[in-house]
Amino acid sequence: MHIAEGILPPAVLVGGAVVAGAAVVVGLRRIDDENIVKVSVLSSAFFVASLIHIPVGPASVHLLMIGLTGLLLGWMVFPSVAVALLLHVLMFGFGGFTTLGVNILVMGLPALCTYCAFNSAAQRFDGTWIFVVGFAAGSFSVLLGAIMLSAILVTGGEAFTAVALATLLAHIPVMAIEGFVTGWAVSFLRKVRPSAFEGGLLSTLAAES
Amino acid sequence: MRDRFLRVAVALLAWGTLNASAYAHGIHLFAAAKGDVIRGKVTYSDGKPAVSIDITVSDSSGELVAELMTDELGVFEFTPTERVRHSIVADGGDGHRVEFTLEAAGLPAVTNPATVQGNSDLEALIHEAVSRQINPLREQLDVHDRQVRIRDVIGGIGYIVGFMGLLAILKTRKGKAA
Repeated sequence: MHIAEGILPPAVLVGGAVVAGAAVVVGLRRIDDENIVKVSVLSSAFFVASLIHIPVGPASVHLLMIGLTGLLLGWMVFPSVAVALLLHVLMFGFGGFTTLGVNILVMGLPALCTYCAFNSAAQRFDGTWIFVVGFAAGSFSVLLGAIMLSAILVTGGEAFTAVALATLLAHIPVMAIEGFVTGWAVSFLRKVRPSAFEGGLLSTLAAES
Repeated sequence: MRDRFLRVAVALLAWGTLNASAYAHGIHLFAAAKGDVIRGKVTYSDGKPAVSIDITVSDSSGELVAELMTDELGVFEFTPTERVRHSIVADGGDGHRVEFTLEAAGLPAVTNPATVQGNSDLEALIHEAVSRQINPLREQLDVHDRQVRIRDVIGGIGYIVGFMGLLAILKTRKGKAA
């Protein structure tokens, strides 16, 4: 979800920009020669995913891909998503410059939580179970994203329960689709490139040095 | 690219890029004068009408002129009382908000032709007839303008790859220096 300009109070925008900036710096430090390709590919995937529309009744929603991105990147999801969102603003006018920080957090924080919740499971399971883990990760990330979006919109003056309910309802089809897509992607990666799940957490960096 | 993972990833990316024929996610507003009335339409990026969206109209001094909602076709109408610049804001409530400015020159010279005689009648009729022909064209142009094209998507991906490449170079340099 890209939050447009002129909705949120300046305090939220500034706070969001500061926190997002810090998160991006943390993520940047984690990027090295080995995983830069992974970050780049997933950034492009996230960039394109927002352009793929799924009609939902009268309106339509778009794919987010934050489940897969978070699961594979961990902290690196912040620079990855930041670049894609910046290009969304520059090239298509989605969201805004002032809301860039907030939008990075709305996408990045659920992704990071998905990593924390599902990454170790993803590295342990195989066969049918890995699909289940992937599906759970995909749906969970969208659920968190919808909740986070509602919470941010509340600061702009909307009534929380009404907005939260509307957002969640609109995203249920996305949760299902993202679940399937993430589940498939994760099972494929587990077979072909199990090392793809590594490298997202800071502790690994510390252990290496 | 012997790496199977990379091959599949690139293939998927290409598929996604080629399928991004619909515009992406946002809310759009187009409004024009139609005779006496200003008629506007709010749509989502893929062209679907945006129903029950809050519309706020203010004039050039910031004063509130009208507050209404779009109907089931995403359309709203209001009658301007003065020939000034109008600022129309559509707020979808879910983080989507768009502003549209209608210049004074786009409004008819006389906003209430029923009460004026002679030449002004003719002028109003001409304005109505011309706007009936031109407005659909302007709407089409607006839609055409904001269309997301494949070259935009490819360009964006190019920027991402370029930026990541730059990052990789910087990291390598830092590694050598250390």
